[in-house]
Amino acid sequence: MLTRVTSLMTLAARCGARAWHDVEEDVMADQGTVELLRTDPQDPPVGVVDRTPASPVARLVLVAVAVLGAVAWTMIATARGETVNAVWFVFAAVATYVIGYRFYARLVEQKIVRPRDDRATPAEVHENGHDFLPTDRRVLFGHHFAAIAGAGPLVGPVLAAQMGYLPGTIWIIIGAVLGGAVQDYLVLAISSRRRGRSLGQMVRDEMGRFGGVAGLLGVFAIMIIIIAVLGLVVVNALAESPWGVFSIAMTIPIALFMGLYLRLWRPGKVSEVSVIGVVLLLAAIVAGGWVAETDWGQDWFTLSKVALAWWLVAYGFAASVLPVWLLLAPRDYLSTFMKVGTIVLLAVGILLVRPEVQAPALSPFALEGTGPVFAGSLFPFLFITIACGALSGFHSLIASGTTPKLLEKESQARLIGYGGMLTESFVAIMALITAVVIDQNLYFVMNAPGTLTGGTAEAAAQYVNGLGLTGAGITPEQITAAAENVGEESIISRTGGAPTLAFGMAQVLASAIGGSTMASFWYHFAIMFEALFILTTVDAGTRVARFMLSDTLGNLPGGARRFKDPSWRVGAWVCSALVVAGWGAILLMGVTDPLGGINTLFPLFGIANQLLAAIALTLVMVVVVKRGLLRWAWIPGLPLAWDLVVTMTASYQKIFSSDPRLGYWAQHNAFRQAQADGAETFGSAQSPEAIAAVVRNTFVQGTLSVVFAVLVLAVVLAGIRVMVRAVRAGGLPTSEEPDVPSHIFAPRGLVPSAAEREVEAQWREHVTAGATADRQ
Amino acid sequence: MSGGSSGSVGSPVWAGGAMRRAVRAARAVRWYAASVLGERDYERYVAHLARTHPGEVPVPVAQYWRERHAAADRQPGARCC
Repeated sequence: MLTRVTSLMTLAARCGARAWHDVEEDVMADQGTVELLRTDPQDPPVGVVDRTPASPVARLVLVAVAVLGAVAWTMIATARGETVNAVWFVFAAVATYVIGYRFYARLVEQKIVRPRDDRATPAEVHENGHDFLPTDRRVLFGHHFAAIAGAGPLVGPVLAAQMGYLPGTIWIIIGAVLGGAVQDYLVLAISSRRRGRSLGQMVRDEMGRFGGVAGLLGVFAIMIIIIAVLGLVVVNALAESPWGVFSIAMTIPIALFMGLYLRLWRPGKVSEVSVIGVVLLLAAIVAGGWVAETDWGQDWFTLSKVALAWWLVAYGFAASVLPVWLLLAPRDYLSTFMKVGTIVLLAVGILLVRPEVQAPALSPFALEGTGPVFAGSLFPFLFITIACGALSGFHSLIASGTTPKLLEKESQARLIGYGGMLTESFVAIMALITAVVIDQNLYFVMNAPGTLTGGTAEAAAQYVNGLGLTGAGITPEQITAAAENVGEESIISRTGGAPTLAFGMAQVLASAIGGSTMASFWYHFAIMFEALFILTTVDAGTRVARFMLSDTLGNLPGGARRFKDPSWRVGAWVCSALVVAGWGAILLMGVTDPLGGINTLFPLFGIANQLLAAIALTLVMVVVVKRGLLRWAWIPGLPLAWDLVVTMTASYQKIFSSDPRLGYWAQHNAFRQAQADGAETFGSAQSPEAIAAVVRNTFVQGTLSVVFAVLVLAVVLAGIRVMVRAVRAGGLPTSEEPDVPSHIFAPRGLVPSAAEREVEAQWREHVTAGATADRQ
Repeated sequence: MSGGSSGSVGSPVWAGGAMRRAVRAARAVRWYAASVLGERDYERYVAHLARTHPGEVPVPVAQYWRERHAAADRQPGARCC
């Protein structure tokens, strides 16, 4: 039983003027280490602060985890000359996450976030049964994870595997623990103290108009490039693949059917319709195999990259002007279902099969910077290529605005924000594993651009055998056989990461379930779910960007004010068209790029994503400094400094490097010179038109990288100005909302503690008693 | 209180037998999947209304989802890469 021991005096001393606080201690259970927070004497406690030291068993488990992690890291890092098993990656990752979550996230919680469960979250204060809705922490975890994780963490690590497995593994795990998870957690915590406001609004509130405008433009530009590059990944995965195109095309009628089903027949039966949708989806993958065998199937569904890009543009426009219920919402259900299912499947597959790693720890490309997948050396380009999975700025758009409106208790932000990012990091590790367990010759056959592999099995084999990879080379017959095994015409230069991941996944899953007869099914299954994620990002992203645009246009004087009205269809169509034209142009530029597309555009994607992280981390740091927590400002400062060093070095090299493979402008000038000299062919450009295309593309890419860097520097400078003012003034007021007492209870972590269980029981009793009293 | 999910997992902990446990696990998975997808949002809205505006009649489920989707049309949520 709980005994009340504290008096009103301690209450007043502890909580200052806020009279609704009450503090109570559970003396019998834990010698005063469990503190119960109350806001209403009639109600059970609304929070539990448990300072009970960890039990000896829990300590032993932590020590065991740490030891396992140390062993796993040693295995990965010191294996030279012998192969290392992929299971060690899983152990190293999980052990590091456990230690990071237990100790570092707790430090962040205690020193910066300082959650108080007697304070109501925006979800509780503004609960409306719609977007503000206190949500069970486990459900919200799934929700948040489904919103942050997409194709990004699957693609980046695959491309980065050209540098060997070690640098990518270290960056994904350590980067998430010290960087990405800290960003997500702190943005979530800050936004939930500000009514769940969006990142753009918070930047304006905390850093003034100038910072706000630069931030908004930055977010918009970054969104456009992200959609374009993800679109490029899909196009590369589906081009010349009738099987893939058919299955993906089928997702549109399936989604429309689901939308109508929910609207007309069974409103709200979401899981029912999702199960139907997933069954239809699997049927579409199987049917794709048959269709690709037929003449008409090959006729209809074999599309070139350019044709696919146009289809994607048309789709993006249609999806962003069609009502949400018809296409976007059902597609989102499918995507969530497939996302969680596939990731679990892959994890189980890796643990069952325990494949051996084929890639070296560190490849020569890491130091020389001459890799065919993307140019540039380990620093900074590895850290650019792997953005999602280690530090992804895009998450700050979810962690502000969406998730805080569903958060039940402030203390749960650690589980949702920090824990959610660790889970994404784990997905990235699994993607890395699939890329390093496949034959490394095949890895480069698939990932080197077509201008290098030549497109035929003979030329590709010759090219890859000349790369100086360790181990035996590859024959043209082996390349053709590998393609046939997964049911594709060719796997040469299938750049973009998705096909490689699908290939690795097919290899892992086929050895676990179904053998080689199932390999082609698994390959297309993986392609399908990646494309599904990306299409979900494309339509949701186009919609969000369209709203940002119409909002901005609506601020202009005169007739443009009408753009503010979201129900004005003409405005919606115009803005959608502008947004789609923006990313569509970059996408088409990428697919027709004589230099390869992915290797020129993917760095821009990574830079953009991490510059967004710089904006988010600057915001966090400004808030921390304003609150006078100077001593702990290094917690967001560390990832911010690293992120700025990486992105600014990369931007500098992309803008100023004299090496044409690396610098956009150096490439631009070289091709312009060739154009001026009247050259017929130059470098990998085989015609005057191709030379002109390179001149144009490098101009666009160079300009974009300048624009991104300038916008972000503007935000950072605005942030520094505010921080200097705050330090001089010894702290400044922030835009935090006033405290409102909470009247609900929920446990903090995934598993409730003993004290939390007891409080939960009290609430159940209380609610039942209340209901009985109401009836009488 | 809105966090009372454990009640929906059903039969008590002591319920023995592998079969029982499997049923419980399946039920928990179903509960979780449905909740993440938002299937329980309408129930929660009804409960919320009963708590905050007793006596007010909740809108029917079809209407509720129409409003939810209309709101999403006006204010879209981002999806990450």
